[in-house]
Amino acid sequence: MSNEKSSVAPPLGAFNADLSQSSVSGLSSGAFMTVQLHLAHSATFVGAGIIAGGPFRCAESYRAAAAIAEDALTLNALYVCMNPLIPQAAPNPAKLAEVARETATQGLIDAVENLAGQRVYIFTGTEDKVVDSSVVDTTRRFYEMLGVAPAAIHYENTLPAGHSIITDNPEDNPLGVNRPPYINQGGFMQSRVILEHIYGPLKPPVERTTGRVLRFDQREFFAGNPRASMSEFAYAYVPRAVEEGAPCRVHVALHGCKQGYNYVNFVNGQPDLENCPPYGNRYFTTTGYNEMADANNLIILYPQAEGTDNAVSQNPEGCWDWWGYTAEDPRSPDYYSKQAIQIQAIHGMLQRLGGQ
Amino acid sequence: MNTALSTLAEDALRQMQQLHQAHVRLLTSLAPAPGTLPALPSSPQFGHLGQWQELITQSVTRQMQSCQAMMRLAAQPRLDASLFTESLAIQAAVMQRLATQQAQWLEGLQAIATEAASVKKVNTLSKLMDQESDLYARFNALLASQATATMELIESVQISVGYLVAQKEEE
Repeated sequence: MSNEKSSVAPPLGAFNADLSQSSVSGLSSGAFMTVQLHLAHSATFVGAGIIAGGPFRCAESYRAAAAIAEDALTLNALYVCMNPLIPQAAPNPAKLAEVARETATQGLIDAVENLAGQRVYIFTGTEDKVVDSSVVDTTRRFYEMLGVAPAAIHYENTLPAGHSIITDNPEDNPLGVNRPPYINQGGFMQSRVILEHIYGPLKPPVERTTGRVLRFDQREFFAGNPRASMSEFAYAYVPRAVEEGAPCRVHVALHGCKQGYNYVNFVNGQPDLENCPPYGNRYFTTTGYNEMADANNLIILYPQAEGTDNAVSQNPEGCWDWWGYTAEDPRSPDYYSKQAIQIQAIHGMLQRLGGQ
Repeated sequence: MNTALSTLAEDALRQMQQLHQAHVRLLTSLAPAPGTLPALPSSPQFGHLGQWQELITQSVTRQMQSCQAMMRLAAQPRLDASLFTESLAIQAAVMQRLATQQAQWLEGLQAIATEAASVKKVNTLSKLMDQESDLYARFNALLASQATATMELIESVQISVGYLVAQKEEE
């Protein structure tokens, strides 16, 4: 739900970016979307960082959950992909790996063979009550079954963290809690660990950034279609050297539910416009990506999802679509392919940054 | 073990059928008898009733399908032993979630009672009214969250059991 109507933001610009070195990471719904984006465009990416996310198309695990397809997808998302009662009721990675291969054969996503040489970071906190660790474990097995070498997967599942991206900011939530803005203090910057795992040794983060967080109008990438459930603006951190023409790489950082810049909580079914959470801009300013980007000539792209709860899409928490709420026909949902409205939009932004 | 599973499934099936019949009776009693009232234009209230009916029917159907699948599995000559251990694990998980829910209920009540007992400085009637209303609102929110958690648990059990059984049948 948007609480503001915009003035003007410039379109996203083009830079000297080598798109063949792109990567993506995300938290929660952003992590589920990371997996989808990674598979859909695996030829473009060199790696991915998944914090508390499940495997590709897991929301289609149990179609018989309800007679109506849309209801079945939602029930799967909640009770198979996020919080299964027991680990055996979590997604089946072997089956989903097979689904991914079939999807690639149909040409809906890039060839899964591209994943073989890639590097993947996967994290789950032992105190996570939102996306159960048993689900995230299936994401690791899913990637292994698709040919990612176990040595190329950094799997961390021992930290007593709640559902969150971890920072060393003293003002963030305590490590073990599960509450918005889902940015918890754990004494290190998880964004740095992700980027270093994907790209290898990098220069340490700068103390003071030299670049700018650019606000741009992202509607052109989804033609302003309300079905996309994406906000009016998105952001990109661009180091000064990159703005001046230096070659760079692009990392896409996807926020989780309730973390978009204009997220408004729903109280008693209504948007609480008078008490907007004051953290809408924290994901793209305080999670440590920008400091690493500045030191290493990376552009960090922060697309923004928007909360909507109406007849067009049921997405009150502003999550990325990994269970088909953007689908025109829920019986044949398209939220995971290269043609999916959100994936197409994010990929369009990436292409623009590379001047394509 | 076959007999135990079969009995469990039959009992659940019978209960679900009874629940469904009770639900149909309830909805029939709520709907106006034909001819007694002029036809009403569709109103939001009836829309809500329809949604309840649809989702409860789905829930009952889901339960019945799972029970029937369990009976089919129980009737197989070579029963998968993991089905029994997984059903025990589900029972344990349900107990754990109920215990967590109970703890949250008691914690919530305790917090409301503590606030109600504490004397706050109030200078105006409007502020007093505001504070009293807050207590009621918090109690209502606590009740609502417990009801929602119970619904979630029911759905979670149905989906987990149905999904597990469906996977066993595919094997």
